Amino acid sequence: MSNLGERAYAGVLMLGRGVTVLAGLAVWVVLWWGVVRIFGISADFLPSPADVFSSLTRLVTHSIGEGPLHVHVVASFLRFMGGFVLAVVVGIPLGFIMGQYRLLDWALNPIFESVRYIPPIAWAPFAILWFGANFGAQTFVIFISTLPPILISAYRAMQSVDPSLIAAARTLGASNRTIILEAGLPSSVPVLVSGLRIGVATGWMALIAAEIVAGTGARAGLGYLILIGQQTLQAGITIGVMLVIGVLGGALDYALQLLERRVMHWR
Amino acid sequence: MARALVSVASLGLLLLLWWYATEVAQLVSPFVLPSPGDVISGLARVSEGYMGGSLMEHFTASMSVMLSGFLLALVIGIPLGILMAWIPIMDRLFGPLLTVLRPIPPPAWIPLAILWFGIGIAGKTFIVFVAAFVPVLVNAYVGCKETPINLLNAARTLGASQRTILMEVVLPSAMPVILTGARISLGVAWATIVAAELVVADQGFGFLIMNGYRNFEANIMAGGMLLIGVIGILMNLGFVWLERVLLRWNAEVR
Repeated sequence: MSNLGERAYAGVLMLGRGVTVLAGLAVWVVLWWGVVRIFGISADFLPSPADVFSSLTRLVTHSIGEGPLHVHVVASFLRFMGGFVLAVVVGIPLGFIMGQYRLLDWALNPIFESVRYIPPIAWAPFAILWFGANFGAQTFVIFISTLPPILISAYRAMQSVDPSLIAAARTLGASNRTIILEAGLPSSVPVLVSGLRIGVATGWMALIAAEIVAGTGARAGLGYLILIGQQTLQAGITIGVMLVIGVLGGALDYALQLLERRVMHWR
Repeated sequence: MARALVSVASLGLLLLLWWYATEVAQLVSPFVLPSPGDVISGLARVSEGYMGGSLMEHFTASMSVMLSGFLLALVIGIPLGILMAWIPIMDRLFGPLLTVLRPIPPPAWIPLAILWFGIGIAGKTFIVFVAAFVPVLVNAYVGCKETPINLLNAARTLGASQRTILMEVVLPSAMPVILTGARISLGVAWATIVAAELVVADQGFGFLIMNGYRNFEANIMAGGMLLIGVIGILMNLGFVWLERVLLRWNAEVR
C-alpha cells in the first residue's frame, strides 16, 4: 500500500518537473518568436518557430533528395546501426579477451593509445577513399568513434569481476574460456550497458559529423537534409532537422538509460 | 619491464607490416594507403609550405579559431553554470533550453553557422563555441551542486554571508570539476575545428586532410592526421600540467 503511495507521489513529482520544463521551454519559444517578429528577421536567416514547424510538416509529406523525412531517418539510422553493431561485435569480445589475457592487453593497448588522439571525424576522407561515400564512410567513422568506449567497458567489466569468483572457478578447473563466458559476462552486464550508452551518444554524434563531411556522396540522411537546407537557403529545414536529430539522439539515450536502470536493479 | 617490451614489439611489428605491405610487397596502391616513407615526405612538404601556407600558418589558422571559441565558451559557460547552480530560477529557465539543445551534436551546427556567420573565422568560432560550451557549463553546474554539505553547514553556522559561501566555499570546492570540464571541452573544441575545416576552409589542419583527399595525395592526408593527433596529445598534457599548478593547494588532487 505504502509502495503504491510512494509511486503516486513520484508520479506527481515527475509531472511537476515536466510542467516546469515545458514552462521554461515556452519562455524561449516566445522569446525566439518575439525576436524574429520585432526585428523583422528574414526567414532565410532565422525562421520563426511557426516557420520551422511548417518546414518540418512539409518535409514529412514532400520529398527532398531521395524521399520525405522518414526515408532520411531510416538511411541515417541504418548507417548508425552499421557502425555501432560492428563496434559491439568487435569491441566486446576483444575487450573481454584483453581483460583476461595480459599479454594481448600489453600488445594491443599501445596501438589504441597511439590513435586515440586523432579525432574520429579526421578519418572521414580516408574512409571515403576506402569504403565509398554513400554508406561505408559513415559506418567506418561511427565504428572508429564507438569502438573505444565499448571496448574499454568490456575490458573494465572483465577486470571488475570479483577475483574470488575467478579463483573459485579456477579451483574447480574452469578454462579461461569458461571463465569469460560463465563468470565474466553475466556479472559484468551493468558495466557493459553503461559503455554501450556512451557508445550510442558518441556514435550518434559521429554519424551526423560523417554525413556532413562525406555528405556529397549520398542524397539521403539527416546530415544531408541540414546541408541542403543551408545550400538552398531554407533555414527552416536546417533548424527543423537539427531539432529532429536532437530528439532522436535524446530518445536513443533515454532508452539506454532505462535499460541501465533495469540492469542495475537486476544486479 | 616485460610490459614495455611487449608494447614496443607490438608497435614495431605494426610499423613493419605497414612498411612491408606498402613499400616492399606493394600490396596496396599509395593512393589508398601511403607508405611510412611517403608520409614522412608528405610531412616534409607540408612543413615547407603546402597550398599557399607554411605549416606555421596552418597551425595558427586552426589554433586561433579554436582558442577563441574555447575561451568564449569558458567566459560564458562557467559563470552561467555557477548561476544555474546558485539561483533556482536560472536553473528553471536555462535547464529546459539545454535539455533540448544538448543532444544536438556540435557538427550539426556547421551548416547553420555557415548560414549565419559565413564560411570565415566567425562561423568556425561559433561552431567551436557551441561544442565547447556544453561540457564547461555542465561541469561548472555539477561541481557547484556537489559542494559537500558539511562545508556548507559549517560556513553557515559560522555566519558566513551568501557571497562568502559562494566565493570561499563553493567555488574552491568546484574548481577541480570545472577544470576537468575545461580539459574535456578543449579536446572537443579541437575535434570540432578539424570537422569544420573538413567541410569548408582554405587553411588549417582539417583543410590539409581534405585537400590531400581532393588531390589524391594520401600522404598529405596521413601527415595531417598525424599532426592533429600529436597536437591533441600535447594540448592535453599541457592542460593536465596547468590543472596541477592551479590546484596545488588541494591535497586531494595533489
